Amino acid sequence: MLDEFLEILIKTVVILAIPLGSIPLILQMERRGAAWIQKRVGPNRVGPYGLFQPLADVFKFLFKEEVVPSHVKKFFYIIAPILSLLMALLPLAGLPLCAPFFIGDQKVYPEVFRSGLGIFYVFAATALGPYGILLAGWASNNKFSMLGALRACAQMISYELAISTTIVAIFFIYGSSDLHVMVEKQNESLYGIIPAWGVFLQPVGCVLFLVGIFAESNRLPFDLAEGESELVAGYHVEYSSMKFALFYMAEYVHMIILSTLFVTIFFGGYGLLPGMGFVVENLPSSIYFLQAISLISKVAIMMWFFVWVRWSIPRFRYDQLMNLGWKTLLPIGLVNLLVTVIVIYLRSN
Amino acid sequence: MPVQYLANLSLYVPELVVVATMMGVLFLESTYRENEKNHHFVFFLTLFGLLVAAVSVVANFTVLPTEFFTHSLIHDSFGNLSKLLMIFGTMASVYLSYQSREIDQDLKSEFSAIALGVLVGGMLLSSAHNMLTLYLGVETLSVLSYALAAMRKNDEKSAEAGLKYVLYGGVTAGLMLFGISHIFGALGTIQFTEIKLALEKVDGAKLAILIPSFLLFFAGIGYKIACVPFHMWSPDVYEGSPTPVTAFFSLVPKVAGVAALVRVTFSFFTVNVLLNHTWIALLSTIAALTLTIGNVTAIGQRSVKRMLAFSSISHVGMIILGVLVTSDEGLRSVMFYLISYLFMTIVAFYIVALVSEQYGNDYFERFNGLASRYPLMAILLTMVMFSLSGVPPLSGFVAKFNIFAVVIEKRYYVLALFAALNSVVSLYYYLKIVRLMIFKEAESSEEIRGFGFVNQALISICSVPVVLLGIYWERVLMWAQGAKLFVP
Amino acid sequence: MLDTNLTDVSLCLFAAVFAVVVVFNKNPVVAAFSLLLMFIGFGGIYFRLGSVFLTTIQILVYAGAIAILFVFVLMLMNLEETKTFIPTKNFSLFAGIVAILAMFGILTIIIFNNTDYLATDKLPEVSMNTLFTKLFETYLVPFELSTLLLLGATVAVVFISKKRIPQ
Repeated sequence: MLDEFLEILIKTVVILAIPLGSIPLILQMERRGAAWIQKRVGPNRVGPYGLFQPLADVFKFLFKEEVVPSHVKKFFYIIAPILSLLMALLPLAGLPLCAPFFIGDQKVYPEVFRSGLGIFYVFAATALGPYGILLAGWASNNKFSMLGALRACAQMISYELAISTTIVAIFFIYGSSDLHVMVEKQNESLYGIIPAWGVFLQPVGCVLFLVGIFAESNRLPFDLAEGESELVAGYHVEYSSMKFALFYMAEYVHMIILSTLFVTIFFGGYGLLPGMGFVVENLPSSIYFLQAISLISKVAIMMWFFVWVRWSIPRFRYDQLMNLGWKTLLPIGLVNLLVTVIVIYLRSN
Repeated sequence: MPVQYLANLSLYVPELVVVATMMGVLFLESTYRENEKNHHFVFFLTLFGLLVAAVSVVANFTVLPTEFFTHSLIHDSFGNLSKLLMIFGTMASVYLSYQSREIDQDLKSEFSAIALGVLVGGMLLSSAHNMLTLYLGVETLSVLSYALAAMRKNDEKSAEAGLKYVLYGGVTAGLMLFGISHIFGALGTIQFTEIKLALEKVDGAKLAILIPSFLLFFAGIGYKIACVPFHMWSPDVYEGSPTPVTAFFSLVPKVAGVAALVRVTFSFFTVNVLLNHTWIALLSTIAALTLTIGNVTAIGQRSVKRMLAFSSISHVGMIILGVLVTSDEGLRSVMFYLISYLFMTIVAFYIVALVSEQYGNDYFERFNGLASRYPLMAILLTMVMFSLSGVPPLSGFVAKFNIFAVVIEKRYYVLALFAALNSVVSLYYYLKIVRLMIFKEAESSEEIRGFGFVNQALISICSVPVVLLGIYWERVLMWAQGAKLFVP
Repeated sequence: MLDTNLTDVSLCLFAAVFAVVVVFNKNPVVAAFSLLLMFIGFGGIYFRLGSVFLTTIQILVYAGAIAILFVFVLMLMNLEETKTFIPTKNFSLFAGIVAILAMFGILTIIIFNNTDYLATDKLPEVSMNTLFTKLFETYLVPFELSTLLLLGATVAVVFISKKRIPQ
């Protein structure tokens, strides 16, 4: 009983610390990356190459005055950012950092919530994401916030569909919803040279999933919920200092989770990057650490991709966005599913 | 398992044909341009599909009764006869919808598509062998009917009808599901065969759960056939919907609901004596109340459609009388009643629809003097009214006579008395319209657009069975007897 | 007779409290959010009964799709606060209390007389495999026919809510 509790406690601490701790780094990468794309310098004052800038940001958020406007619905106004961050952190419990390993004779799974469900759980917890936004928009008692919140929510639930059709096709390919099984299957090689990554087995699904995660996390080109030129700042216009920081963190955590999911399904997850096999042969017990490093580096590359796309592509208009989600992505996803099923059926005969 | 499904597919052809027609209607409708006026092809496709479905139902009559698709559906001649009646009812309502001006031009093909969906639900309901299939049939029937009731876009009565139907139907479907889940919890299975086996050995403690659950379960079926106390939606929905939709509602869901009620009664309530008595007591009370309330409330109605709605409630009361005797003769009389009810209702609703769309409303006064302007239609309506109230030598009389015969044979004298008194009372409101047609002066002399040659011919053809069944009823009764129920 | 467990009791109370809030609260949006919390409470109850799969499906479908639609539509409609449904006239109050007590009495009698087969430790082991085998083999036909219902409902929704082109 006690060691079960201890085990879960340690896993929770680790799985919470890694994303939350890397948020300042991602923030810095975003700002310097944006500056680099836009051919300017970016923050470089607060430490070598501006590396302590996020620390300065954190201090700013902490010490700013906490303003609670008089026209908001107080209870819900205060709960909304907490709820948003909570719903954003829930899916972390299902994401594995490395393969299951043995301590003594006991098999330990590197995910906090181990069930046979894997990706199902992560997806279910992500489906709860829109609630924080809805509550924030409604509690702000402000028509623009309301509109922004409703639009964001509609966008998130529409693109959940496109993602779901892809996930169903993934079930067919890997035969299981467990993320460990998916990574094991991707470690085999396809035609001898390239690894059997999901992106090669399901290219259309990969593209759909990618578009879907951009829309789910409200990032450009789908960020009209916080579109600066249209809706001021959307659903968090009435929020300041730490409450706003919570929303910001929630968005980044959401991005991290979806990128991890994407990388695990399509790019081999915690499978080792090329070149690490050499290290593993020498130190066989370092494999788990190297797997975690592989996963984290792949996710970091995905994060850079998010920043890159943000500053390269203009924003979608709302009706274009909804048309894309329902009339383009959903049919493509269904056709993809159909083709996948037919191919699997023909190959199994 | 797939091989087994494919082998059984031949029994399922009618439903598949109707589903294919529905998809075909939707596809074909999408090929029409924005402002194209007539959608004849959709109409012909619907009728053709229904005809093919009817032919395949008739072709299935010779197949031995069996349960198929892993015990979820059952195929027997009773189910096939119900399906045939429903298909015929759908054909009549679809034709009426294309003739009537009450449904907008651009919504006519949606009517066909949704009516076909309701038909599939009805066919599922009449051949259900599984609580899940039964519930699915009820839901398909109901949900698609809600939309049909609200078809007239800018009419507040139509919207009110749709809303009342939705609210009422939603709650009742929830109650029915509650009852079904308790039955499942008590007996551990949803297949009718296994429920029957479990009911044989049930003891007092489980009966404490089962009797209320079956009551709730009956709520769902009773609501569909509009018997008391689940009839309150019926007059408002019937009056507010466009008349082709009302005609459809008084045909297809009633046949489907009665078929489901018959199956449930014969499957579950012939094994355990206590349950038997409870159910028959329930049905007798409901039948008596339905007959009385339906008739008494129909007397004071101003609108013909509402009157017909209430009168159909009382007809359902008679049908329930036939169901509760739980014997083969009872079943035979119920089937005969449904056949004759079908034709009478079609003729009545056609004439009422075509007259009321001309004048904008369907009050009794609109029928003044119809006999002098359109004598054939007046004669047919008179005949149908006499038949509905049960005057010999028309088919309505024979149908009621059969029901009386089985009820008296089982010595339910009080019920027979109720039924007889109510038949007499019904004469009043049925003949009210006859009196107005023949003895009053016409209000206006404009031509009724709907009574063209083709429509009059069709109405006459539909009214031939009303007379024929009244005279040559032995043959048809023997044929209805062939519609046996298969209770494995 | 009944072995109660603190987690079970608190989960049931959680769901029950929020269900009561849904019915009696004056503000529609608060009621919708309470509905969400009630669904999550039900998910917890399914978890305690041993089925993680059902919990996930409950969260995914009910809390993640159905409740969102409720909240969404209610926020869009921007309704005023409704009157609460607690009856104030004496007779309605009395009748309501009698009805509630009667229902609870019946349920209690039923449950206590039938604990032998209502006990949940006799539930079979349900994994995704068995569930989907049943869904796609035994109950395939109702499953496929529900798509027909969905199709018809979609068509119905479209034609009810589309704008009329004036003729």
